[in-house]
This record gives sequence, structure tokens and C-alpha cells, in this order.
Amino acid sequence: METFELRSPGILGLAPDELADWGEAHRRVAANLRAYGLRNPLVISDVTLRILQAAREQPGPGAPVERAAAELDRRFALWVGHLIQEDLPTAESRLIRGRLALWMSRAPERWPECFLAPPPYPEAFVEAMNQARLFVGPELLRLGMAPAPIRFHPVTEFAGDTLGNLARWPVVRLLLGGLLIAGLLIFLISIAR
Amino acid sequence: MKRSPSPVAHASGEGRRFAFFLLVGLIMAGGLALMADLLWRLPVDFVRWPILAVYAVLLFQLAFGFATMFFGTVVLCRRRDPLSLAATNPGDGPLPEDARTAIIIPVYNEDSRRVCARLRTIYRSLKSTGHLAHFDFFLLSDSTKPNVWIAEEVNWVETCRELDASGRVFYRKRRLNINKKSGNVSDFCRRWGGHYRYMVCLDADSLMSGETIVRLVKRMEAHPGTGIIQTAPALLNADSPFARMQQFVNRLYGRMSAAGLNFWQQGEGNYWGHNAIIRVAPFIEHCALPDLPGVAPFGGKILSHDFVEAALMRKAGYAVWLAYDLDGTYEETPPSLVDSAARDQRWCQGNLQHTWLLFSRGLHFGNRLHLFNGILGYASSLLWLAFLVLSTVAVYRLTQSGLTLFFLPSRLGLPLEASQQGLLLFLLTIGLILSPKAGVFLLLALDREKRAAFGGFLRVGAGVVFEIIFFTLLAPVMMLLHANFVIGVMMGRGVSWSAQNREGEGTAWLAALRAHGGQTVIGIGWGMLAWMISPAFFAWMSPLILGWLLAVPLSVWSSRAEAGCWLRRIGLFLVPEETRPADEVETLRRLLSELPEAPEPIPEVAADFGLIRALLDPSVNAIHTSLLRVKQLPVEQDASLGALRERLLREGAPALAQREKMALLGDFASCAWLHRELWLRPPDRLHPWWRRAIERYNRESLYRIPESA
Repeated sequence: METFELRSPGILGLAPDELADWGEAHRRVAANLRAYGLRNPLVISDVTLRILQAAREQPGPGAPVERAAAELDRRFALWVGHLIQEDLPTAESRLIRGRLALWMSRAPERWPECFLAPPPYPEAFVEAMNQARLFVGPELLRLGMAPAPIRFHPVTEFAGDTLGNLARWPVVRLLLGGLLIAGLLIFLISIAR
Repeated sequence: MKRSPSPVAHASGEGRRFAFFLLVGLIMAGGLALMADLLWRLPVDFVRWPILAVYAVLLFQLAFGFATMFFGTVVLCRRRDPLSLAATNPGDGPLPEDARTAIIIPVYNEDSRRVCARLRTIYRSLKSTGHLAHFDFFLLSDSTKPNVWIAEEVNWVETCRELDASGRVFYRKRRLNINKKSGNVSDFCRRWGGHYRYMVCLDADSLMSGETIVRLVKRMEAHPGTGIIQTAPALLNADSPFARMQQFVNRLYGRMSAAGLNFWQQGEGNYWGHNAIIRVAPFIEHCALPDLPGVAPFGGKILSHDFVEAALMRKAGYAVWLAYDLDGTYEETPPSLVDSAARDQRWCQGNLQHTWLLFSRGLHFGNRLHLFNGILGYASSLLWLAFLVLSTVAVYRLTQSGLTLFFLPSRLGLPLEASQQGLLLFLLTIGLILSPKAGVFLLLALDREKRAAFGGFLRVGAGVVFEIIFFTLLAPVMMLLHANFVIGVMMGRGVSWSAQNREGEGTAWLAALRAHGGQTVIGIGWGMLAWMISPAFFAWMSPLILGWLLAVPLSVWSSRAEAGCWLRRIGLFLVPEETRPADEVETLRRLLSELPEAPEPIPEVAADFGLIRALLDPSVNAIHTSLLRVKQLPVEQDASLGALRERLLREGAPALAQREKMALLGDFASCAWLHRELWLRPPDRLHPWWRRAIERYNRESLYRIPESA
């Protein structure tokens, strides 16, 4: 009778007690790849498994989620470093530049097979990734723009000083306001009688 | 070096100004003589002088408006205005290489999808002129809400991507929005102003055609003594009855009014803050705004910067012109009376501040007059109220005296009864307001194409009748609102800087009641008082009383888009932008209609959707961090941000104040670190709020899925 194994040890060779943690790592990496704009489930599965495999092979501390996410970042930074011909000195700058280029060039939709894949790449893909960049503004030319003082009329200056003083004495301001309103009312009543 | 106002300004400009003010003077002399004569015929010695003084100021405003419209009609009937920039056509040649122009759009918590739709329209329109290479676009953000900020960044990059305009369309977000819009523009000038000879300043709701922008640049090139050219924007995209009537009135009378303004102001024109071109170098050198004496709301920082910038430009020797002849320039209008009043409250405070500048040294007469008219635009409401109160008191006292009234003969020798003279004064006042509308029909009679664009004589006539009725009912409501604003400013009650509602769902009954309930009560009270005084007086007061009583339903009805659509269907308040839209208007409408309905995030994350996108989405995080400055923070500040970052992850975004979220979003290291940590941390070290956000993370699942899907 033909036999088959219902449960294979799996490509990652996981022990039963590792399944939950690596399952979480798988979910996280796959979600991260979708967030990069990848939509093809085959590509997502393939890249995710390759990342997890590499993460498992890397000795080191940390939960599987951390190790897998770090591996994704490491591989992405390396990939961008090969692909984009710019001076990107740090891994962080490569990550940011690469994510920006991916989104601006719509590469995950147009060339999903190239994502984290080794060269050679289609020429159009390389060109699109390299040309997709943000320009935040022309070169800064710092100019002074200081206000020229306005010469107010002496009455205006006096009124400004008075208002400034009144602002410091709210009780006086309240009294003056009350007097003004009372005066208006008295005026109206007196002319109506 | 002092420059002449403009090559086209010469002696007859002074002649025009003389003619204009002669007409204003004659009207005032006639009106005041009639009023004084009437007051001195009546036994009302107790209010004669106050009424006459108030009436004099109000009559000036009416006479000024009449003269503006009268001369505007004359100019437009002649179809040629030798004293305008239009008279010297710079031609169709290419723009000089160094005539670089920045198109700047300051935004403050606006719907960036709509702003970017306008930007795309202008960009494409400019591209079609073949002059695009001379222009750069700047979206200058002062937004304070994280969701709006992040949406602006994403929409900007999408716009660049769609137009293939990286390096031509730029975005800048200010960390601190010092001095509001004028500070925003000054910040642009300090950073990049040196690259450009001109800047075209737009509002978030502005639209201009490429052809109009190019013509503005050519006019500036042809007139190096001109510092600012302001265009007269037409209103656009109005849906509600309130907005449609504003749009109709603006389109019908706007050009007459602008031509009339240009008639007297010539090179001493005004700047309205948007849809204008500015010569950058003198603007930087002369138009920085000083603080006003005193403290806010009356003093302090200048709010309505535009009038003052025009005055400073003119003071520096540069002309400021109004290009009333140019089409292809548009803006939008608030959709409801309540929204319009909120905007007016800001403008009121800004205009009243100008009182300080009225008598400052070195300003030109034209600019002082603009400042005075701006102040009067709001202060007159208080004067009209005073006029009504004094008149009511006078009539009350006359009727309560119980004496048989004895009218003195007219000192002017008029063969009229006092009541007939009162009627004559009333007719004069109404005539000053309504008669300029006759000029419109004259202009339409001369221009068949324009007549058809408004839907024909009959529809224009019906529209004019309706708008007169509507705005007559609205006038007392606006009077009380404005009077309240003026008193508020005088009592030290300032307004905050809030984003303008440009679309709106319509005013709810409760909101209308809150806004106009007081006016309705005043209407009831005043109506009862007038009836008690005399039925005849009540009849005189009835248009005002009716306006106050109908304020709430009128405000609600006029804000409803369905009602506006119905008016459009029956052909009322049609404007050329609806019947024969220009290319740029059609493009904008198409782009706006193609905007997908803004997806609604699931309720758990809606309040912090911008923050989630900026921290979780790799692309949005990359855009956002690319725009932040990498800097070494002082140890204390870094530690405090570190604690905030950890709190955000451990307690979720709802636990942080908006100020704290803005601080994190403004820090490069925090944004990069948080993005990494969110994808890297095991679930047990993240707050359940974040776990949920990550679990559901992909572009669709954070949005609420419609039931029909």
C-alpha cells in the first residue's frame, strides 16, 4: 500500500514548540511585504520563506519575529545598495531611499519578480528605481526679511501704549468697559424720556 | 531707487480720481443736506447730531460703492481702458530665461486631495502654454493635525508621480507656524525667494489658467515699476443656494466693481492675499510685517497682511495694479452663511487692526483709503445698528409725547412734506444700492455672448430679483453678526486661526439656532417694540424684522446643496463657468469628480490614522522621514522623546496628546526607530492597539469596508 507523510518536517525544519513563534514571524514578514506594495501571493510566500530560512540560519538572540524582521531589513538594504547608484552611507538611508523608490516607481506592481532577487534586473526597472526620488526644494538661499519699523502717528502710539497698559490691568479695563456701556445706556434712556 | 508707479499712469489718472471723488462728494452733499434739513424740520433736537454723524459715514460708504460701480460700467461700456495694464499688451513672445516664477500655495489643515487636484490643473494648463520651464510649484504647509500633515505628504508625492514633476513641485511643512499665513509666505521668501523674480500667490481654493499666469508674468516684465498685480477672481464650484448666489453676484457685478476700483486707484491698488503676482525682491526688502502697537486682538501680529503688504509695496515706490480684465482666475466661496460669518469674524479682526495704520507716516492716499474701506466694511454694521437704535428712540419719543407734531418748513426750500422728504431720502439710499445693477443689463445688452453665458436676459433678471430679496433679508442678519464681531474685538475677544470649510454638508438646525437664535430674539423684541410705537413704524421696519425672524430657516435652506442643485436645474443663478466652462474649469471638475471617495478608516484607528500610516507603512514612512531634517538633539530632549516613543508603543497612540504625537512625527530619529520597532517587536511588547493595527495592516483592511461590498 502506498504511504505518504501527512506532516512533513517542513522546509524550515521546525520543532513543534517553535511553530507558534515562527508562525508569528511569518505573519509579520508577509504583512510587511504587503505593506511594501507586493500583491502577488506567490512572490510574498516565496520571499517570506526565504527570509525566515535565512533568519533561522543566523545564530543570535531574539525572538523569531525580531530576527525575521531584522533579516528582511538587512536584505532590503543590501538589495537597494546594489540597485541604486547613489552615495547611501548607512543602512537606514538605504532603507528609506529604497522604500521611497519602490513606491514612486510602482516597482512592486510592475516588477514583483525583482523584489529582493539577485541581478540581473530589467533595464527599465533599474532606471525607474534610480530616477524615483524626492526633491524637497531648490537649493536654500537664506535671505533676511526683517520688517522695517512703521512710524505711527503720535496719537496712535499713545493709544497703543494705553491699550498695552490696560491689558496689564484687567480690573481697570473691566471698569472702563462697564463705564462705557453704562454711559451708552444712560444716553439712550435720557433721549428716550 | 524710487520707481514710478507705472508707465501707463499719467496726469489723466489724477483727472479720473478727481471725477470719482467729485461724484462721491456730490452724492454726499445732496444726501447730507436732505438728511440735515429733515432732522431740523422735526422736533428731534436730542438725536440730530448723532444721527447726522452716523449717516454721514454710512452715506460715504454707499456713495463710494455707487461711484465705483458707475465708473466701472462706463469703463466697460467703452470696451477700452487706456489707463490700465491691459492697455499695454506685452505680446505673445517667449518669457525671458531669468523670469523664473514660483507658484506658492499656503495651506492650513485643508483637504490636500482637492488642493492637489487644483495644483494638477494649473500645472497641466501651464504645460499647455509651453512656458512650464519657467515655473516651480510650492505647497507650503502650516497644518497642525497629524492626519492632515501625512495626507498632504502622500498627496504631494502622488501628484509629483502622476505629473512626472519631481523637482518642479515642492512641499514644505513648517514646524512652528509663526505669523500664520504671512509668516508662511515670508518663510518661503527667506528660503527660496532668491531663486525667483516673481511669485504667484494662491489660496488653497484658488485656480488660475496657465495663460493668465503667463500674461501676468509678461505684464510684470513689461512694467518693472510694478510690484504686485492682483487679479479679480471669479467664484467657482458653488453648490448651495448661498454660495450660488454669491457666485452669481460676483460674476455679474464683479468686473464692473473691479473696473471701477481700477478707475480711481490706478497704480495704488490693493492686494487681496491670493490670485496675484508679486515681484519677490522688493517684497522681501520692503513688505515684512512689523507688529502693531498694543496687544491682540486689536494690536500685536497683523492678521490681514495683504492690505498692509500692498501699502508697504506702494510706499517703497512700486505700483500695485488690479488686472480686472483678465479671465482664468478663480476661487471658491464658503458654502453657508455660518461658514461665511466665521470667515468674516477673522477678516473683521484683521481689518479693525488696520486702524493703527491709517495715520502712519509714508503711506499713499490710495492705500489709506483701502484700509479705511476695509475697516468701514465691518464698523459700518455697528453704525447701521446705532442708526436704527437712534431712529427707533426718536420715533418712540415723538409718538409718546402725545403732542401734535409741528414740522418746520424746509430750509432748503423743498416743496415737500417732511414725510415725503423722508421717503426721498429712503429712495436715495435704496437707489445708491440698487441702481448700479441696471448697469449690468446695459452691459449684457451690448454683449450677446455674455448674455447667453448667463442663461439669457430672463434668467439674469429673475436671478437679480431673487438675489435682491435674499440679500435684503440677509443684510440685517449680517449687520448684527458683524456688529457683534466688532464689539467682540473691541472688548478684547480675539478669534483663533481655523481652517476654512470649503465643501460642507450644510448647516444643521441646531447649529443655525446657535448662530442666529439671538438675532431671532432681537427680531421678535424689536418687532414688538416697533408695533407698540406705531404700526406705520413697524411697516418701515418690517424688512429688517422679517430678516431676523427668518434667519434660522434661511441659513439652513441656503446651505443645502440639494437646494442649490435644484436652482441650477431650473436655470437660476447660472454663470459662464457653468454654461461655457473654460478648459481649466472643466479639467478641475473632472479631476475632482474622479477623486475616489475618501476611504474611511476603521473606527479604532481613525483618530490616529495619519500617525499609523507614517509609522507603519514603509512607503509613507520613507516619504515622511525623507522630509525631516536629521539632527543631533540635546541629551535632555532626546531622552524625553525616547520616553515618548516607548510610551507610544506600550500604551498605544490614543494615550498620547496631539502635541506629543506631533513632536514624535517631527523627529527623524523617532520616526525611523518607531517604524523599525513596530515591525520588529514581538506582540507581547506592543500595546494591543498596535497589535491590532499591524494584524490588520494592508492597504485595504485599515479602512472600513462598505456594507455593499
